[in-house]
Amino acid sequence: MELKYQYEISLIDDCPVNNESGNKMLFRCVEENMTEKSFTPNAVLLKPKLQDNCLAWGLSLFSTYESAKQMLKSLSKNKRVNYSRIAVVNVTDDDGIKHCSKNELHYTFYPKKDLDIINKFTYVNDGE
Amino acid sequence: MMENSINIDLRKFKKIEDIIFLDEPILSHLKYNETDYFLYLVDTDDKSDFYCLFEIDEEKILKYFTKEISLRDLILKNKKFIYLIQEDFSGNTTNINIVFSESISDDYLPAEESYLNYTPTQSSYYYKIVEEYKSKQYLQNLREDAFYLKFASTNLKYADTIGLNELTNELLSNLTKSFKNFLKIDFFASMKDIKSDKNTLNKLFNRILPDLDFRMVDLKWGSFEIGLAVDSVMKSSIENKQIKDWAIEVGSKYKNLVLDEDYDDAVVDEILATYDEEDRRKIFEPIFKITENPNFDLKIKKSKDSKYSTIKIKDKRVIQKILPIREEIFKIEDKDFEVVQFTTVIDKNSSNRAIKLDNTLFVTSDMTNVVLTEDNFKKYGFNDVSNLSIPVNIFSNKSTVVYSAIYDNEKFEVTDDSGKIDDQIKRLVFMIYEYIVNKS
Repeated sequence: MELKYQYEISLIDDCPVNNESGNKMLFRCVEENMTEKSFTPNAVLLKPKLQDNCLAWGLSLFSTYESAKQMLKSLSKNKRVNYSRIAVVNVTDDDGIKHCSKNELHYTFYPKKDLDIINKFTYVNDGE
Repeated sequence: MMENSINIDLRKFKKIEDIIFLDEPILSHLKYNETDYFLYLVDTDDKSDFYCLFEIDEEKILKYFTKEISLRDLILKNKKFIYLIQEDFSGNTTNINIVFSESISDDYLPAEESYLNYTPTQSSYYYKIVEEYKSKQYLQNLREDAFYLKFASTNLKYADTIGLNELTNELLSNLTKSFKNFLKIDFFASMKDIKSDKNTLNKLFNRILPDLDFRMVDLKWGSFEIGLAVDSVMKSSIENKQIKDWAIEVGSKYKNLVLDEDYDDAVVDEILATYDEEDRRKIFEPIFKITENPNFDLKIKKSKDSKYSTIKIKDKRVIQKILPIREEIFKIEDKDFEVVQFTTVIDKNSSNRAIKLDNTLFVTSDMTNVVLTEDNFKKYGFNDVSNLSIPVNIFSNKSTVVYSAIYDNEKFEVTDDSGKIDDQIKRLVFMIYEYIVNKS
C-alpha cells in the first residue's frame, strides 16, 4: 500500500512502525470548518527540524473522546485557537497504517495515498 | 561590555520522551546534566516556534501523569525560572527570555483543567515507574482511611509481644469469623428487597466476597498492630449499584457497630434492633471471646494519628443482653441406651476389632449375659487369679445400662451412662479384684 508522503517516510529508518490491524474508532482535534488542511501534517511540511520525526508525517488521533478533549485543554491558549471541535473516524486496514507507540491513548495515522479522508470524519457534538 | 549571545541549543538536551504529541511534539521531557526539564510548545508564528522550558523532577512528573497536578500548575507553581525560547523552523535558538513563573503570559498557559491521565505502553520510558507509583499511591490512599487494631498480651513477662499461636487462634480466626458472619447476615438483610430468592443471593454474595475483605495496609510486629482499610477502588468491579454501595459501606458499619470501644446504650440498642439472637451469636460471640479474654488486650484507633482505646465492655450485663445465656448449653444430653444383640460374621484371623454394622442382624433385647474369666483379669495385670467364671448380666434400666455380677455371694454392679462397654467391664473387673485381694 502506498501511503501519503511515502517518499519522505521511506527516508526515515523503521518508519512507519508496525500497523495495528483491525478497525478502530479514533478522534481528531480539528477546526470549526474541516478542510483538507485539517488532515495534513502541517507542522512537518512547515518545519524542516521535524523531517526526521516519523510520527510527524502522520496524523495524531486519539483513542477516546475524553483524551481528545484533554488534549485541547493541555494546549496553550494561543495554540488552542486552531482547534475548536473534535471529529471521529472509523479507521480500517484499507485506509492506511495506524500505530500506537508510547501512549495508549495516542495513535498516529498514515493515510494511504488518494484516500478521501475528509469524508471519513464526522464532527462529534459535545453532548455525545 | 557583554555582547548578547544565545548559547542554549535544545538539540544538545537528551530527549526522554514526547508526552503530548499533536502532529508534532507539544510537551517533551528533556534531560541535561542529570537535570530534568519540560519543553512546552506554546505558540507558532510564520517563522518561529515559542517554547517554555522549565525544570521538573520525577515526583512532579508522576503527580502530573496521575492527575494530581495540572500542567498549568506545574508551570505557575514552579519555583525555578521559566525560559522562554524562540526557535526557528530549522531548530536554531534565536531568542531567550527568563521570567518568573507567575509572570508568564496567560496566552502561553494551558487551561485550568489541563490534567493528563498518561497511560504509557510497555515501550514507554515511564511504564514501570508509573505502575509502581500508582500502586504505591493506592496503598497510601488506603492507609489514609485505615483504622487500626492492636492486639497485645497483658502478661508483662512478654513485654509488648504476642505469640504466633495466640495471634492466629485467638485474634485472627475469631476476627475473620465474626466479620464474615457479619457480611453474610448484613448482605441478606440489605438485599432482600432486590432479590428474595436465597439461592440467587447466595451466589451473588459468594461472587463479591473476595472484594469485601478489609485490605491490610499497615503492619507492625511485636504487639501486632494492623491497619485495615475498606477498598472502594476494587469495589468498582461490582456492577449493581445497590450492591456496590452496600459493599463500600459495610466495612465501616462493622467497624462502628462491632469494634466499638465500650458498647454504649445507643450501640447496644442498634445491635438488638437489627440482628436476631442467632445472628448476634454468629457476629459477636467470636469478638467477645477476644475481648473477654483477660490474657489479651484488643485495642482500636480510628486513624493512624489517633490514640488507641481498649475494646472492653465494662458492664457484663451488656454481653448478656447481646448474647443471652442459653440454658440448654449446660444440660447434659439425654441418652437412651438399650441392650442390643446382633449376629455377624467375622474373620477370626483378623485383628480388626471393628464390626461392620451393615453385615449384622440386629435383635433388640433387654438382657444378655457375658462371662468374666481369668483372662479378663489378666488383661489388666491381675495375674494372680485363676479358674474364674463369673457371669455378668447386662440389662437396660430406664435410660441406662446396668452390668451386674455375683461372685462369692457378693453382688457387684456398675451403671453405665456412657455407652462404652469395655469401660464398664473394666470397672466391674477392678471391683471384683479388689474384693478378692481384700478378702485374702
